[in-house]
Amino acid sequence: MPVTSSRTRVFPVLIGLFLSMTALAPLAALADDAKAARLQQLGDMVSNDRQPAARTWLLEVGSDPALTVNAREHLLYEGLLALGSLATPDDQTTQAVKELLGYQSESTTILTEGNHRLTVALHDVASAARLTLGNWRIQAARGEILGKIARGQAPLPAWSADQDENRHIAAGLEQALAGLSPAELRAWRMQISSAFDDEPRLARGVLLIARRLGDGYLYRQLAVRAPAAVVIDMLRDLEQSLDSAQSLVVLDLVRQREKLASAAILSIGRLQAGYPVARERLFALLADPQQGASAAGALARYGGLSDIQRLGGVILDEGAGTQRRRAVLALRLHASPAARAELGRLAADPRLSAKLRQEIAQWLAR
Amino acid sequence: MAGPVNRSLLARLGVAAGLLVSANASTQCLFDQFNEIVNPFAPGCGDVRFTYTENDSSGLNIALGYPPPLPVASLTAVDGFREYASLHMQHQALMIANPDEVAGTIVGQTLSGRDIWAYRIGDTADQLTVDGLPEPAVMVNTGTHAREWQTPEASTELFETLIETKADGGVGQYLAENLNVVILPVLNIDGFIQTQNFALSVTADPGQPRDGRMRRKNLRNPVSLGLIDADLATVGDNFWGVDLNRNSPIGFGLNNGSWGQGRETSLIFRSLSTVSEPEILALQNGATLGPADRLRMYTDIHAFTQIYFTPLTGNTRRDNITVALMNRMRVASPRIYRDGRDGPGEVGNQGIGTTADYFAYTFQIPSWTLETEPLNGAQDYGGTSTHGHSGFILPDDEVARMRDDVTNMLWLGFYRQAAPPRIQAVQISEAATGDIVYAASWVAAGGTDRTLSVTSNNALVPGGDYRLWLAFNKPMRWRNADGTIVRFRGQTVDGATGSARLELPTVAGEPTISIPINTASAWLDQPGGAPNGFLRYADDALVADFSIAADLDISGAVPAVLAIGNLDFAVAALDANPATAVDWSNGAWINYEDQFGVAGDIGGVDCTLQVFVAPNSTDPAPAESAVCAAAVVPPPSPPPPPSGGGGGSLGWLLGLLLMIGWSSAGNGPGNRR
Repeated sequence: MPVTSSRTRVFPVLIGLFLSMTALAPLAALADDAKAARLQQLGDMVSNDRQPAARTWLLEVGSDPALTVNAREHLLYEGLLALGSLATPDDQTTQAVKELLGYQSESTTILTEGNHRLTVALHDVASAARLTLGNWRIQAARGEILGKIARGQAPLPAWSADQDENRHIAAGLEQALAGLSPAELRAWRMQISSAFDDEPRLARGVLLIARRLGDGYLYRQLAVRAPAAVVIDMLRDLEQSLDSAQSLVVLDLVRQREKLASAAILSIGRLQAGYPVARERLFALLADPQQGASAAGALARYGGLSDIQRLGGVILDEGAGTQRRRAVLALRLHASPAARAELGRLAADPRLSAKLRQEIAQWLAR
Repeated sequence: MAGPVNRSLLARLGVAAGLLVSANASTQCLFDQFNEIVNPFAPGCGDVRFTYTENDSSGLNIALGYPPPLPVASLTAVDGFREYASLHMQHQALMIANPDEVAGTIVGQTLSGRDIWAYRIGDTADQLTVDGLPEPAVMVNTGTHAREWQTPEASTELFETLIETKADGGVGQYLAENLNVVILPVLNIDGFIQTQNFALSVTADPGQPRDGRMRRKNLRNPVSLGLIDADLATVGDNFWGVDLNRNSPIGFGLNNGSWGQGRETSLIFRSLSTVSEPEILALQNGATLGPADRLRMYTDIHAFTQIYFTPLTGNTRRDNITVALMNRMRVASPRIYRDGRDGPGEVGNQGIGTTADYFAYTFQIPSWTLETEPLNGAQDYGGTSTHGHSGFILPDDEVARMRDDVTNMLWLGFYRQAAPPRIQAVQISEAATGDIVYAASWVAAGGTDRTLSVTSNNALVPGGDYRLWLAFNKPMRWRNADGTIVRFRGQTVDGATGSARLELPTVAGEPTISIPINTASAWLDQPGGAPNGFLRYADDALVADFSIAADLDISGAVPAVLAIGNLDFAVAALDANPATAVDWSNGAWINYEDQFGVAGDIGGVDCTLQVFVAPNSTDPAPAESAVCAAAVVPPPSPPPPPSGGGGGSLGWLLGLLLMIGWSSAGNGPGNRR
């Protein structure tokens, strides 16, 4: 990739001090194998928890006049990711990495594969520092939770005023819970569930427990209270944890949340093949002004051939109202010759309005 | 010239549990100086599979710093990306539920036989504006590159918004009634589904990730000319496919010459012949829905880097309009969208085979490759980045905002290209009694002509208090969610914009009466027509009171003219002569006159409304007419005065034209797509 250096930015404290001493030094490219060797050194330090040496490595890389800017930033980027594997970083190491949060990587003009000429940072050192600090927070939160459990305390984290930190704390909680046995999860289930009533950040932890225990109550609680992203995650495999009847109850709760209703209805579609109640729910929803289109989509996507004739009946039902067009939509989306044949039959049926027959005929002609 | 370099060595080494995993340096992807992988099928290159994660960068994992998005089954928008099947169902649902506004057409099939749909959104019944003229059209294409999941989400929200607002009584209804919007929501369906089937997996090299989540091209097998398989484990075809944004005829094969687009494993492989790909043929078919000769704007949405890559064809008027429109749209986003017009050496050079090149040169319309956010990569959202490929993966929780943002920019562009503003009707009534003194409206007179139908024309009298009701052909102001008139984001027009003057040029001293239309409260957002309601759309009309001085020195009826200067909320000025309907041809407006009657692309001050002032209200109208000051051709400039002074009678006009912010081509940054 052709690369040309553009402009220098101000470096923060740690790196800036050293660079200022070496700014006039001749720069030389560092071969790949030399970079690999340096990273191997750091890897050894990390695996042996030699943190002072690792900090020195960071400083040396930051001040090495033999390194080009790209080589330096590449090493810092990869080195910071490697440091993320430290089990318990000490305060000095944490501080050294924090200082790199302010590192502004050199912008270089590159040709991307789209042949754009762009000015970007090839290796965004600050972002690597951010990831490593986040991983350390996750580990710390995990340790805190496991420590509480060991002391017989409820595994509820201490949240931070910093939302980004809370994301990592929540991940630490998940990791801690993931390592517990079902019996241990059952032991703490009620306390976590109760806390979740007032603390939505526990949602991912609750979902983990619900999945592990196949816990219908927790699923229902999530359906009502969890942030949308967690509910969407929950919907991916709900029926693997609960039977169809319990799943439908949960999905009906999710359906009450306007922005999640469509996703819930498509999930009901996955149930309907083996659970007639779910199929009836979808047919009933065809008439719903807001949810009817999603019900049609679910019937089209997951419905069987037996549904086709029934959809045809809905279309011909004089009292169908808005259901009619939803049923037409379901047949239109149904990927089967039988659905197409049914539409062909309807296009010639004088009981349908001339306009709708014309529309159907046009689709079939395409 | 450098030989192949191993750019990915360090990333390939990776870190697992604090230990570096060594690898044989001879088994990495190797790149040439043109960024082409020279050993794609070698073991250790094409067969390597990486996994996107949130936080885990060990081994062959690539941490994004946020949860890698997974496609969601939902017809309606979620905080994230919908799977292709759901997007398609939503489009079909909108079509079937709105037969009077949406016409869907299968414009082609992908290599795997999937139907490629395009939708025309507008009033499907007559294809005419409310004036009875053929509707103009704009087109938006998305999903050209498979991995750019942002783009079908953006066009689907646009689709949804057009339908949700079709009867809003305001801008949405105006667009529905006067513009055809053609949307091709997913062009590269096969590739898109491939990326969604492997939402966490990617092959080859972090420096140039290829199949799986990062597939860019379609699924063309260049050997059999059939379809490559969708299995990442069969490495031999993972690098194949055609870049659909290099397969169009304009500039085909001219991608800066030395690039590897002729190589079938290249990320920008153009194919061996132009329009070889069914998707590109489908796109061209989609344009006919406009229909093609009514198109006035084309946008091909891609990701990422926040820039409008804008071909300049060398057609000066078209290029000027294009740049002005691009600049209006760029600033309609709170993010930093950049000016990516062709550089001076690139104007008129036929492009590089992109779809935007095709529409720019073939139809001579504003056309661009709109690269959406992020600007840099995942680091823009607190995530990680190396070589910026994370920018193709927008975090779930940024998707809704991105959709809104792109829709906002397009909305402004559509509004501006639908038609320049013009006066539609006027009424002057006595303030106290409501008696109509003057009333007129422009009516169709066959073809593209209009005549001013004057239904009342009585005298205004000195000492009289009047109410002016003035209606335009489109909503002229933008309101926020609270109903307050505000500037549309990035624009300069608000409630204080505009000017109306009653001029009496035949009276000694050429007195003028300023009518205060430049207040937000003048604009009408309730129906009812004159004198207190809007005409057809909210904020298409205004009302303002004015008085004629009692001591106006006239002995008989004298002609007067209303000089109206105004801008719509996209900062376009009035078509000063509504008698000839504005249209678009060969890259420029036609019949878009200024106050001198000169047709151009900027417009001017409307001086077409002739009224009169007389001592008595029953006096007949004078025989002569009035010419407004703005329409008087100024004499040659005298030497400048020794000191500054007032702006003169045309100062307000100058200010108005400055507000338009007319931009000309040139001084571009020289970016290239």
